[in-house]
Amino acid sequence: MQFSRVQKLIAISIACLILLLLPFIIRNQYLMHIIILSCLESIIVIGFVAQYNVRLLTFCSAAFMGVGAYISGLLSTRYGLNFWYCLPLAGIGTGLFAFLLGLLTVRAGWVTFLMISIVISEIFVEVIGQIPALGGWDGIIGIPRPAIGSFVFVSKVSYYYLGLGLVSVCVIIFIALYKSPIGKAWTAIGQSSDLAASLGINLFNYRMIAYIAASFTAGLSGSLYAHYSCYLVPNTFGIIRSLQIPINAVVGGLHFVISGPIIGSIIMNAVPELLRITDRYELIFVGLMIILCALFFRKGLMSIFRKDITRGL
Amino acid sequence: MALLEIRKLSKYFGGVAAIDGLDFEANNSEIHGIIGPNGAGKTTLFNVISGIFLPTSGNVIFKGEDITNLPVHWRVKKGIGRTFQLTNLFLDLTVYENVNIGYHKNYKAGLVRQFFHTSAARKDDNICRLRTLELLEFLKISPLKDKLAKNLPYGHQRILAFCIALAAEPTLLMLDEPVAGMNPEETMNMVKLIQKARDKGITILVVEHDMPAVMNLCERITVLDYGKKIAEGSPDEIRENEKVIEAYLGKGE
Repeated sequence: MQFSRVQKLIAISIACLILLLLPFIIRNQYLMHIIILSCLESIIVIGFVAQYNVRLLTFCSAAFMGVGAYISGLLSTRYGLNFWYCLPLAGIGTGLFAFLLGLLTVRAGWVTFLMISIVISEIFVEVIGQIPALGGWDGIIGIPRPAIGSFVFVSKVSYYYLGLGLVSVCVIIFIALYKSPIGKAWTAIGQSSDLAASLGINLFNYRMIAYIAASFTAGLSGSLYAHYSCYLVPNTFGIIRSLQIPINAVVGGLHFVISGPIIGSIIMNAVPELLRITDRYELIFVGLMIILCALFFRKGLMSIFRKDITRGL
Repeated sequence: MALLEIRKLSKYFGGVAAIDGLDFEANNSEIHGIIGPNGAGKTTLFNVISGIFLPTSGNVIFKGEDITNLPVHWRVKKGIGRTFQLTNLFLDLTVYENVNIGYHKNYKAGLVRQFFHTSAARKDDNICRLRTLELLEFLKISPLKDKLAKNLPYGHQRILAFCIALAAEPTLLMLDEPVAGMNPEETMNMVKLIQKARDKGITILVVEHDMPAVMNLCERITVLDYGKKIAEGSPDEIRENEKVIEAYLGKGE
């Protein structure tokens, strides 16, 4: 199916309208909770896909979310900073952490990079758990809710809009990157890194940009997560969580760098809830989705719209 | 002063000398052929010049500057380009997009400006677009511009690879077997295109096995065998040279 620009614009406008009015359409509080979590997760998945497209495969996305969450949680509980300071600081802090890590690992080839990401995942949980000052295994509690003046974000509806705002910011950041020459360089590296290098594209630089952008946004997402659930435990950000990210990406579509992650996150989070699939059967659902996509939707669910896509939003 | 000077270059892989004490010069705006039997070290020479391998000893001097230890993308920024023996393309992208990315290193606006899509960055984008279209026209492949690279016939793919390399606006362009696998008609076309590029002021090094093409195309030829230079001169001189005939050309043409 090919859609004209006008049709796409109308579709996006309708989607935006639905997104804005969603809390009034869906009254179920638990479903709203799931949607908020999907929003936060989709940010991470967008970052994952961006990294994947420059041949950086990570299995520590959740750990980066955790870094952002803990920075935000610690700054607010130990030093009394309010959410609006914690948020950017968490993002910058995670970005910095990624930068330092990246200096060592991005040049190393994708296998080493992947191995180290798995190690980071494990180390993160252990380190946080073992250090009482960082909350230990019991975690941090009593993280203050965001507030603007006298309005405190308490209801799911308010958090939903906060989450929507954050997703929009991250989406804008990545669209700005993808549509710039930086995005072109990313495409080139993903297609053929040898050819890209022979054309003067500095592989390390552009990979670092993807890596840091993904980590920065993951940090932002983690920060909001901390101030939403108001408590943090290290196990939330372990490797199991990290592995859900690539699954969401694959189900949504790796070639659709923005809509794929969002659709993937929503489907993998919301559908089990809607179908009232409980604990054990959730894994079966995940497995079924993966098999379904592998068989019928090789390029993810978004490929329903364009089968021949190389890279779409 | 020569554009490219290779001084006493050696490249050993373990105990095997791929290049052994090579002295070589390429002058401005000439088409310089490098021929020799398989295994003579021709592609290795290209790899050392472009920076994929670092030499065991010796120097590579480009425009008077010693670039022996510079990484690949620095050399490209200084004006060295190449094509590959196995056609390397961005397969899932269109011809236009392929050449577009080729121009990438010439962007003037920095990363921050690019991210914020400032007017400087957009100007760069426009220049890039114009250059891409000019280049497609220059090599006469404009009709192909919206075709996916992976759907092109082999000959067109080689021309596309050449076009992408030209988009980076190199001063020195190294072509690794540009007419390999082409029929006589395609070969003649490619030779003409390479000559057109030389006329624009680009110095071209060509590794080739197709002897008629080499004789037609090149003004000077260097012959390598076992990593050493065994002859150098004009096509006519090389054709008559006994050592070359012995090592490579065999009987007749």
